[in-house]
Amino acid sequence: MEVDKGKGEAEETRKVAEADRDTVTLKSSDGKLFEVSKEAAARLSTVLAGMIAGGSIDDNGTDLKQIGSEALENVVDYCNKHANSIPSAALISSSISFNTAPFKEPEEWERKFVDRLSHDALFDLVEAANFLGMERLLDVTCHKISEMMKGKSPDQIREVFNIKNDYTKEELEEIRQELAWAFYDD
Amino acid sequence: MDAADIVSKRIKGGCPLPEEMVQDILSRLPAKPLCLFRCVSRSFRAAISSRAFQDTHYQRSSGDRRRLFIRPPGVQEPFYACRLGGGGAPPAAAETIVSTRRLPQGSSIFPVSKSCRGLVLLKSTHCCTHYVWNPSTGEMSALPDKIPVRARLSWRFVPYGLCYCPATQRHKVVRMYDACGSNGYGVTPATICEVFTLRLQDSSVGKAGILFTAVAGRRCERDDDVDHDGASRCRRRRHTDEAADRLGYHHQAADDAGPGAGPSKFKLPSCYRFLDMSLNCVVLKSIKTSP
Repeated sequence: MEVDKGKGEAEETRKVAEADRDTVTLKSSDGKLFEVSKEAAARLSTVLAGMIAGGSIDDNGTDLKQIGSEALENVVDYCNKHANSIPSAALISSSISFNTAPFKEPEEWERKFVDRLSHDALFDLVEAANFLGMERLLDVTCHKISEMMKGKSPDQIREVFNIKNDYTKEELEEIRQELAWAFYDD
Repeated sequence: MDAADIVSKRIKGGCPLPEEMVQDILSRLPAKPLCLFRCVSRSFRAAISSRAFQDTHYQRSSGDRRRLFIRPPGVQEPFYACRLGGGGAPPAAAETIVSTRRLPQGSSIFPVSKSCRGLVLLKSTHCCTHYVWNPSTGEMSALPDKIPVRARLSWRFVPYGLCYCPATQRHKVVRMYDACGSNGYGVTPATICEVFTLRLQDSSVGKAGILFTAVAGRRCERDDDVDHDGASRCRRRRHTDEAADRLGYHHQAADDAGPGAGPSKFKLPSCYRFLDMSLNCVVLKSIKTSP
């Protein structure tokens, strides 16, 4: 379950020796290897569960070309932390059910887990969670971003999401007038 | 896509997340900041105004804590929302959701419907104007209707009801009244039911953020069964349980039963009349509270 930061061949040989383990090895887009428990991976990620069931797990590192090493490290970290925390009934049910179920508030450790991430790391993690079909991680990260957005001005939102303001000055003024109530607190 | 691509995507500019992820995140926000974020960019506004998004948002936020609307008696009192089950007397523990500043001046205004999928019907004593109000955002727009001439002749009270039609995904305003024959002598009372459709704003055209504009269009409702409760509920009421909206307007609490209540249905007489208003409306529901 130890995070392998791509230290290379020594690890590689160790892994081959321990064939048929209860962990899976994941390979990030930049070639770094990470290990995660098979049980946690299958439980938390629908995509990994499918790969494990379908036997398409590569002992030398399953290629996840869409995910950078930083994001993958966070994913693995999350899986490990999740495995260590006592899985409450709420968490298990929310990791199975989809979307329309009301969102369960993040638990303390989940909150801490996402709080320490930078914007970029958070965005990468959202994409990784989406790619791997990790419903709960997606929920927690998206929730964190939405919390972050609350109370921000449109300017700040544009900055965070790197969005160009494509309104003309006149249009913007018009919208601002129509939305006058949203610009002041009462 | 490898790491270099990801990095270059970020340097080149453009949103760091795919559009559907951004929408997912937005759908977790309460209604008020969402309305503000319509001025972030055209794509944000289009996303927030789309009906699919509003459906998702509605489903997401329907798990929220139940709220109670409180309207203290008095002419120019604001509306409050307070959490059910919470201690503390309103308005101390409550949040103001419509301040007196926004209420039309010089009239008393009160809700005549429960929250119906995010919207509440309000009535002002001034000229009997009705408003559709979104308590989540505070948006309020007057219905561009008039008291019908025939009802005015009979000096009857005209009850209004608000409902949501899941088939057409539209809010509708229903009003019913008895109209006597205009010659006054022959007692030929006819129950007239008028159905007004609130039309969702087309996100690609028109102005952003306006609840209603324009009066146009037509719509016929033939042989419709109209739930009498929908109209008869239009009585003065100061408390509206927002959580009841998912039950639609068939719901009636035990203490709520008035004359003519119950799920009695009747066929409309043949002398119905049709009106329609096309209204632009934004439906967002959530007065989200932190637990």
